[in-house]
Amino acid sequence: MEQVVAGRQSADKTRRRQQKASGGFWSRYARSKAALLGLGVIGLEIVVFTLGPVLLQLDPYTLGREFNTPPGAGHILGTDEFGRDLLARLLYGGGVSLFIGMAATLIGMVVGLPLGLLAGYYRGKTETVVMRLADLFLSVPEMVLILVLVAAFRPSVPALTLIIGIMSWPGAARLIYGNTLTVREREYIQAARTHGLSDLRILSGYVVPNVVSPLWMTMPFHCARAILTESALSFLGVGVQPPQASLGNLLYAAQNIVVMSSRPWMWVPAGLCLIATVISINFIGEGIRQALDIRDNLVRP
Amino acid sequence: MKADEPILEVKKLKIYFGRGGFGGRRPALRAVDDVSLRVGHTETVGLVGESGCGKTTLGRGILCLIPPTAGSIIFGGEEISGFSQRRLRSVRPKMQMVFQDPATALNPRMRIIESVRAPLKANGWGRTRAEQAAAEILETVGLGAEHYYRYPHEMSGGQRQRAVVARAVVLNPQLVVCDEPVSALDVSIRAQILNLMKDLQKARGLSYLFISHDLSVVRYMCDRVLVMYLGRIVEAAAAEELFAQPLHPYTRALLAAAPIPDIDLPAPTPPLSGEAPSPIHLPPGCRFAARCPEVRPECRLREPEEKILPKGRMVRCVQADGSICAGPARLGGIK
Repeated sequence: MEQVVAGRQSADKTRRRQQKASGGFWSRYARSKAALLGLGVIGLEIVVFTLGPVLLQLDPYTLGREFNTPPGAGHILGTDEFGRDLLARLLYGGGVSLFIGMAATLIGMVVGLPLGLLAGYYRGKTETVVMRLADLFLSVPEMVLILVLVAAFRPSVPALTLIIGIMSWPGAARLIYGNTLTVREREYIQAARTHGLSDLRILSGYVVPNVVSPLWMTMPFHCARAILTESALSFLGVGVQPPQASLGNLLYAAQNIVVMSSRPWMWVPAGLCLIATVISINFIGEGIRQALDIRDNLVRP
Repeated sequence: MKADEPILEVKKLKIYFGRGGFGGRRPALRAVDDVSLRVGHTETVGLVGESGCGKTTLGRGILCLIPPTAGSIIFGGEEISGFSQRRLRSVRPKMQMVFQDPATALNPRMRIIESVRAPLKANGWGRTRAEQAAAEILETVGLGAEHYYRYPHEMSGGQRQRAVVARAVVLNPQLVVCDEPVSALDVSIRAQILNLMKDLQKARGLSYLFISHDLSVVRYMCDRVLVMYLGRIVEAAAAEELFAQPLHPYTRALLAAAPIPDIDLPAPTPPLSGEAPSPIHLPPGCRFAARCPEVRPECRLREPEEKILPKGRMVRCVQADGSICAGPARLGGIK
C-alpha cells in the first residue's frame, strides 16, 4: 500500500517533468512564428472588427455629402460613390466575412463529423447512404449549386452561411470516414469492446480522439475557402447584398474600370484585408497540424 | 458451476464471412468451420496453424467480437453466443484478450495507466480505486511508476506488451485469449513475457487460449494443443503426446518445418509445398488432400470424420485408425 502511494507520488513528478519536456499543445503551437503571426492577425481582426466601429463611432450606412473622396483627414480610407465612409464599411465587411467563414466551417464540421464517424464505424447501410450522399454533393459544381440556391432564396448572411456550410460537409465527412475505417480495425478498439464499453463510449473515447486531428488542421483551410466563396459570390453580386458590407462586395466596386484604375482606395484595402485574412488562417492551420503531431515532438526523459 | 466443468466450451462453431453480396449469390468465406473445443480451469490450450487458417477469427469469435454464423459458445456454464451486445457486457470482464501487435493494441492518445484502468472504469470502478488497482497490476507486470504517465509511443515493444497483459488481467478474468502474444517481440523479450504470463496464471488462476504459429512457444506454454487447418481442427492432443507422436500428416509437416538451431545440419526440405486452398472454394474431401504427402485416392472423395482416440486425442484423417500407429515423429528443432 505504501509502495503504491510512493509510486504515485514519484509518478506525479515524472508526469510533470514529461509534460514540461514535451510541452502542451500551446507551447508546441507557439514554436512556429508563422502560426503565431496568423493567430495574432486573426485575433486583432476579431477585436478591431467588433469594437472598432463602436469606438470610432463609425456607421457604414450613413450617406455623406462627399462622394468618391480619396483618403484624408475626414475619412481615413476615403468614401465611396454614395459618400459612405470606407473605413466603416471595411470594418463591418471584414466582420461579416470572418463570421461567414467561421460559422460555415462550424456547420460543415458539425454535420460532417458525426456522419463520417457513423459511416466508418458501423459501415453497412449507414455507410452506403452517407457516402453516396457525399458523392452526390461533391459531384455538383459548388458555385453553380450556390448560385441556384441563392437565386431561389433571398441572399442574406444567415442563408449564405448555411449554404456554404452545408456544401462543405462532404469534405469533413470523407476525412473522418477514411480515418475511422482504419482506426476501427485497430486492436485497441477490439480491446475496448472486450472491456464491455458501449459503442458511444468507444466512439467518444477511442475513435474520435484518434480521427479528429486531421480535421482540426483542415478546419482553417475550410474557413479560408468559405471566406473566398463568399467574396466570389458577393463580387458577382449574388452574395451579401448592399447596403450591407462584406469584403467581397467591397471588391465589387473594382468591376468598374474607372474605379479600378483611378480610385484604388475603394477596393485595395478590402483586397489586402482579404489576402491577409486568408493567409493568416492558413498559417493557423499549419501551426495546428504541427502541434497535433505528437510524434514530431517526441521527447524521452 | 461444477469444478470439472470447462470454463469455455465451443460446439460446432462456424464463422463465415461475406455471405450475400449482390443477390446473395457470392459464396461465403469459411474462416471457422465446425470447430469444437474446451478449455478447462487454469488450463492453457494452444491453437496452432499457418497464417490464414482461421486462428485469429476463432479467437475473436469466442470473445463475441465477431458474430458467429452457427454453433454455440458456452462460457462459465452460460450460452453466450446468442447474447445481445448489452447482455454481453456483463460477461465481457471475465474474458479478456492479449493482442499480437503491442504497437496498435494500446490507444495512442491514452497514457499507460489510463489504458490499464479503462477496463475498471468501464465496469463502474471509482477513479481512485481504479487508479490504485491499475498501479498495482502495472507493478506486478514489472512496469514501475516512471512508466505510468508515458504514452505508448514512448515505450519499447516489450514494455507495451507488459502493459497489454496488465490491461487484460486487471479485471481478474477467468479466460484470456492470447493472439500471438509474443510473435511481434524480439526473441530476447519473448521468454520474459511468456514467464510473466505463466506467473500470472499461477497467481490468478487464469485459463489461456494460446494462439500461435510458433511451435516452440506452444510447447513451452500449453497443456493441450489443437492444430487448425483451413478453419477445421485436424488434431487435438496433450502437448507432450502431440509433439512426441503427431498423428495427422499436417501436424507432422508443421513439426518438421520448425527450424533447427544448428548450422551443421543441412537445411530441411520443406515437407509442404504450395499454399492452402481458398477457404471460399473448398475442394470436396479432405481439406489437406491437395498438399498431403501421404494422400490416398479416398481422401479426395469425402471428408474424414473426427476420430476420438484414447487419452482424449482427436484426429481428422483416414489414415489414423483406433490404435495409435503412426511412425515416430520427425521432430524438428523443438526440444
